[in-house]
Amino acid sequence: MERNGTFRATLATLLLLFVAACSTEPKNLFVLLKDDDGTVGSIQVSNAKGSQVLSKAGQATGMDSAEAPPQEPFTLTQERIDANFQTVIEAQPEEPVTFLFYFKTGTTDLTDESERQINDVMATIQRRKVKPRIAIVGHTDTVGSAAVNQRLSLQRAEEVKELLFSFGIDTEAVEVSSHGESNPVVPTADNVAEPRNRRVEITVR
Amino acid sequence: MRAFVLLGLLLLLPVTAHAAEESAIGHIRSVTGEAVVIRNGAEQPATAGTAVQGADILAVRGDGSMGVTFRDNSRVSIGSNSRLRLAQFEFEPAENKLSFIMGLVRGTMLYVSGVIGKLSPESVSVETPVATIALRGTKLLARVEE
Repeated sequence: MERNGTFRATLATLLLLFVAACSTEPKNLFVLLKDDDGTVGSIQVSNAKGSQVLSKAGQATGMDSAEAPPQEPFTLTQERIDANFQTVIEAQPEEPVTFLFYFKTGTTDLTDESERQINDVMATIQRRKVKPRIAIVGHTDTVGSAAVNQRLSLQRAEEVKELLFSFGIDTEAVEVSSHGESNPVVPTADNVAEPRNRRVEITVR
Repeated sequence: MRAFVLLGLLLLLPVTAHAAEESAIGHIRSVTGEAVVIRNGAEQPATAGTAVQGADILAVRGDGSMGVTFRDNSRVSIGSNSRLRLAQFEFEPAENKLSFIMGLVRGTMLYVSGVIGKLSPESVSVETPVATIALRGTKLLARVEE
């Protein structure tokens, strides 16, 4: 009777150790996560020996050396993700916040609603855990000359910058640029008027 | 004569600092433990607020971490005993110049994609000694062990 009990205990221990060894992740490990807005992209992990595509949140692959191909994708629990990556997860910078500003047609005057939004920007800047960088970016729609649009969108971005400076923002922390028509809110064909694209974005990061 | 040379050098100082800021591709937002930025072979301590440039190497020695935000709003953090090269960063959407290539030499990293990943998903990748990771508008955790 006693001999059977010891044998079973040994077997159970060995089984547990075996299972534990199997659930240890490879030395080199790559994990796909959900974006903050809930969407999931995809990643492809490749070396000379093979390639794997991950397309679901929590999926992972990896290998113990460069001579081994990427493993068949497996899923990691949040607990295993945290166990392996706690430090980098905690060191993730705060998510940038973007505000959209609109102008009275053909001018560099903000709409009344946009003028009021400056207060929200200031409040966000005060609330940041680390002194923020502020990007002011002009955008256009696809109508008319790219050069004219570029110039107007930059002028508008400069207007917004002056407004922020008047609120006492550190000038060194601000970067002004224009993306022209290349970064629309609403993608359109060429030469399509789209007021939602004619904007200045302030991003606090 | 010497006074003029000295004055000239003093006048150049803000220009040099400004030039470094002009070519900044991002800024360090947090550091724990001991971390450095290696640029053209020279090291400087990494602290919150330090600007980073293309070709910089970010390194954490021992236990620690570093968090960085980039001009396209992407975010990167690296962990203990980590070394990340910012091989290539191009963000000029109006000129269709979009790319972000990193090299994770060792350690751990978290990458959260930004506008480059949104506008040009095929233009973001991480190279490591064991594999290349092509990212398509997404969030990645990676660990490379030597």
